[in-house]
Amino acid sequence: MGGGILVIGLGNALRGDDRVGLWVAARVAAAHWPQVTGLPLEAADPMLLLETWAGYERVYVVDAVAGSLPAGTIVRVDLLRRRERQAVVTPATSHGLGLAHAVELGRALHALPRHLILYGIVGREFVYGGSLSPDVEAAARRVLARLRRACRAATGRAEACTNTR
Amino acid sequence: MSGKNRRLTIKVDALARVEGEGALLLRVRAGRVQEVRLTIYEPPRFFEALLRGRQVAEAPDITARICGICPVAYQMSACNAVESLFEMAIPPQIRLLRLLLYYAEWIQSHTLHVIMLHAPDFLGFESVVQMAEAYPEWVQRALQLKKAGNRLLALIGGREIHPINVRIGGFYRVPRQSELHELRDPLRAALDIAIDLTGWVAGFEFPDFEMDYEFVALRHPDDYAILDGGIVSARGLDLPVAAFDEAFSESQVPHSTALHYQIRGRGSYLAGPLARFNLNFAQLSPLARWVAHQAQVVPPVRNPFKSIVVRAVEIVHALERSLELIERYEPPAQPWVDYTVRPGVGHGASEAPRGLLYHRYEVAADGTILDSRIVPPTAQNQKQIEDDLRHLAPTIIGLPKDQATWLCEQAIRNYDPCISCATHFLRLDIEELGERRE
Repeated sequence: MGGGILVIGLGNALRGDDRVGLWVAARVAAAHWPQVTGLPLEAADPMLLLETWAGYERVYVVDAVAGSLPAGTIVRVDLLRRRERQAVVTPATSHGLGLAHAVELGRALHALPRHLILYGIVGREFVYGGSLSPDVEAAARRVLARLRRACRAATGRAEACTNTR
Repeated sequence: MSGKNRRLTIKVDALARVEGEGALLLRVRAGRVQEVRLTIYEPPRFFEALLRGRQVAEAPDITARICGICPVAYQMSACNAVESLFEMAIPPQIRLLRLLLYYAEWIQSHTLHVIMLHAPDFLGFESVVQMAEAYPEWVQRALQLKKAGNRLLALIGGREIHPINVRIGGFYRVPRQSELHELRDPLRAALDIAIDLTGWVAGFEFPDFEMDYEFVALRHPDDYAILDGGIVSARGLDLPVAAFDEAFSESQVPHSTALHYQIRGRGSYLAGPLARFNLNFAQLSPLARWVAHQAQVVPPVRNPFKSIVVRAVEIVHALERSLELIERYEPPAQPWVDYTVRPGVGHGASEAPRGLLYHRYEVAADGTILDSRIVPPTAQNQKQIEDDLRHLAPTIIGLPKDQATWLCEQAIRNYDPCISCATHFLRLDIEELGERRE
């Protein structure tokens, strides 16, 4: 995997807009972009996240977020920047441990990728079942486009570096 | 104020390092416990109602979604209930794969609890993140251990979280022998870690506290019971799973959305690793028994704080047995056995990482579920947890409040409670007021 790009989508497929991360990651996986892996993951278990992103140079996490901003708002967070991370990614649940713990644990164990970016999409409905709200799905498509550009730029840079050796 | 006359109220609004949402209230006055409440306020999720009207073949997949940590337990208890009703004989190689799948879940779940959730209590850390700064090697080794469990679960279950490969009668797809053989080296490495882990946690300092529990677990004639068996207890219960209701009663308490359970006429009881260990020690794998002796943790173990050591021993057992089973595995000719639907009531149970998990389904002639009942271990242990806290009160009354609170939370985490699984029931009282006209 060394040097590759991983797009992890987090969420619950059965809870409305909470599935938006899975939606994006599944499309990344199906797109087969060069050097990019898409992985829907229905658990933000820190041990699993650390294991999953081990060896990747650049990791993007896409997840639904709840907040006072309008549904469909995209929040980009550099998870390696502590202030930025703590401002946005707080443990939103008492259900065990989550993404915030994974990053803190990764920092303590020196097990973080060089780039770790969260795309949070503000959800509207987190009810059982259902599909994505229209504004959340539109935001998911925008995130997908941004990821494609970011991955293309990153892999292009890597190729350029390789070619100049 | 002297310790004797001291009034102490411990209130924890949101328990940390447990799965789900719960709170604790303990009121002590003049050395006497006035009130103990393990409050479970997570909303009920109505899975039992959701199952009504669905085809019984869907039960393993629907109930698996109750828990992200022990989905295999739900799948296996559901399969046991349905297969006993349909009088199905499960071929040995399918049973072997089910055991492997279940061991994988024990490895995952126990490792998560021992290292991430419980060890910080004993070492004085607020969380595993702080613990990782001081003991990075142990957290890294735990990651490796859990990864071995993840790989085994993903291979047999189809994915690491919420496995999708289980069906009534067997599996949708079975692994090739070579796929399982690839896991032998990581499992052997994990076994080394588990042995060391047992020694490490056995060296922790344990509060001097014992309870006279009635342990309840499954017992199987050939195995340290995990997949199935009859129900036994330390005080003489010995009954088939179908007689669950004859021995156990349930009740609702105002402060919990999970039901309380007790043995009829006797009171609370303890399900889980400590019960299995005390009741079925002789059936643990030889290495697990040897490691337990080395750790000087052998039955009877009545100190619930030592459950962390017992979980580590069970990881050793799960890994050693998994390696044995992999050597014996030959893919079955057909991944599942077919069945004929029979109407009636089916009962099934298995040993989830946290203890006995009972399912009951009433099935119509066309395979529709008419009624269902699911009794998870955390619900069964709720009353016992409150009893532990009641008995712990004399120990904590003289402690500073922060230490007392710490010890109470640690006592709850001894049970690795899965509150999300336990939330179950909400009584809805509809009062007919009649029409009033002013």
